[in-house]
Amino acid sequence: MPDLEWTAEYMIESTRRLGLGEASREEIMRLCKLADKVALVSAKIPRMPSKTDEPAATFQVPL
Amino acid sequence: MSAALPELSIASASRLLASKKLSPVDLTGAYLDRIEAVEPQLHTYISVLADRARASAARAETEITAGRWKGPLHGIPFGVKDNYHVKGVRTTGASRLMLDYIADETSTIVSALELSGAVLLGKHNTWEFGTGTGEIYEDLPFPLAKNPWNTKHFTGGSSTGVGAGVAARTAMFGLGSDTGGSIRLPAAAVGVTGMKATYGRVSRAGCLPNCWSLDVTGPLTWTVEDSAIVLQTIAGYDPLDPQSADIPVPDFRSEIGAGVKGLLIGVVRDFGPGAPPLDRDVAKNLEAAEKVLGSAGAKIVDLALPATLEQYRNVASVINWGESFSIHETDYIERRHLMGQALRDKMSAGFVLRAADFLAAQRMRRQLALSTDTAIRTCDAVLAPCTFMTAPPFGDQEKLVQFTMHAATSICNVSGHPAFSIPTGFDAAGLPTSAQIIGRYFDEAMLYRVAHVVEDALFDPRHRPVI
Repeated sequence: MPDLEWTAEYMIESTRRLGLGEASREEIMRLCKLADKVALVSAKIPRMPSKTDEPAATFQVPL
Repeated sequence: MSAALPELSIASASRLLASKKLSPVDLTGAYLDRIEAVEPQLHTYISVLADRARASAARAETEITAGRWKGPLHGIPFGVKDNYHVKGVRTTGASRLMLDYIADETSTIVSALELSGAVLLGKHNTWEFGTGTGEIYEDLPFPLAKNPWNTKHFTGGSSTGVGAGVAARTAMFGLGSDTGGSIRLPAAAVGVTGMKATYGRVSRAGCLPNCWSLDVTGPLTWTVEDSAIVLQTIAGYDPLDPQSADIPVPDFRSEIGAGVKGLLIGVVRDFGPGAPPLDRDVAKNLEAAEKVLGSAGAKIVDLALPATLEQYRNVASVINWGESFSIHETDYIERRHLMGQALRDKMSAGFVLRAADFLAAQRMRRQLALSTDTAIRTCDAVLAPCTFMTAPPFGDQEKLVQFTMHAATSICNVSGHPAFSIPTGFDAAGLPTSAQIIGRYFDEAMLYRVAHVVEDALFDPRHRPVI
């Protein structure tokens, strides 16, 4: 299990890098909390044992 | 007579309309009167289209009088969640981002309903863009829809005004949309039926997307037969929806009344660690439904799902965060101050989601769909809880979230199977309890067949909320 704690400083850097622009301290703290939750839920998704399992939604040629 | 008209089911009103014993103009007028009387308390609509509805009803009357009856929805008044486009009419999605948006197209299934002669009354209340976790912030541009059984209680979401409207008789039926339970949860909260058909069975074209690979459109109705009547009109292949299934549409009413003698019905009792127990009255009424089916000749067996409820929910959440963020990314970056807190939180979750996690969820989903289908195929139909509790009061944020998140609805969004929420009775406080009938892919007719047996024994269609 990875370290799930997002820090405000890291979140501020991330939001700027990803184009979110100025965010209030309150918004940053809320994002940190949500990011922890997302990481926790995501970490619980089992990985497929085979590399050949495709995702459920795959591209189909639009005929 | 006029005040009693909204008490009718679609099936009974349709017979009267077809035989010219009931005027579509009178029926629509009775609904508009009802809307005017109860909307200040219930807020089931965002927009009421009274003039448009009167014109449609007058047209239906002319057609029926001239002997051109189109079928069982001709002259029947209905509402749609305000995420369906109707040409020339405002679509808001209950969002400040779309307050002035006028649609230049009509959704495929609203068109189908209007072509069948149904009369559109208006656009129903909803959570913003049909999304949320159950947390209620009261920060949207429209007042909250209220539960007609007790206006201090939640309506269920996200099709908040649709279920409440059908129960309160501000619409004879309504269209909702369901990504993780948004048709079935409001149906359960207000004691009406909610059909989430097989993914791909009903077109989503012209309905605002929430999460492409999980979204399903469908009806909320007062009775099982009414649901079958509406599904008959809206089901079918639509080239405008890339996920639409080119599968024949059967007669959904053909098996209603056939009973369940000899059918094998699985009952899901265990949802794994982390799933809360059912509230006492929900469990008691679910057991009553099981006994009804057993007494009617069905063989009842325990059915184990291949994963825990938490596993289905995790997969659904990750997919939902990712796809929904993709839909609203630009608005989140540029105008998130206009979003309500619930939508903004969901977008924030999508903002920090990793692509690898999203794809892991999609890969897991395929496996879950296959293994769930293997389990469901061992039975003719499956009985399961819908919500684990009755509608909680507004203000109890923890229970509001539990009502939405600790429900057995996301299972069939992940797997794609059809699932039908039906009322099973009431709790001690007079709030409706519910169950789900789940079936094989594209076998909605079997769901109606089984649900009708439960309805016949446990549901009194005359018992309506007093408002």
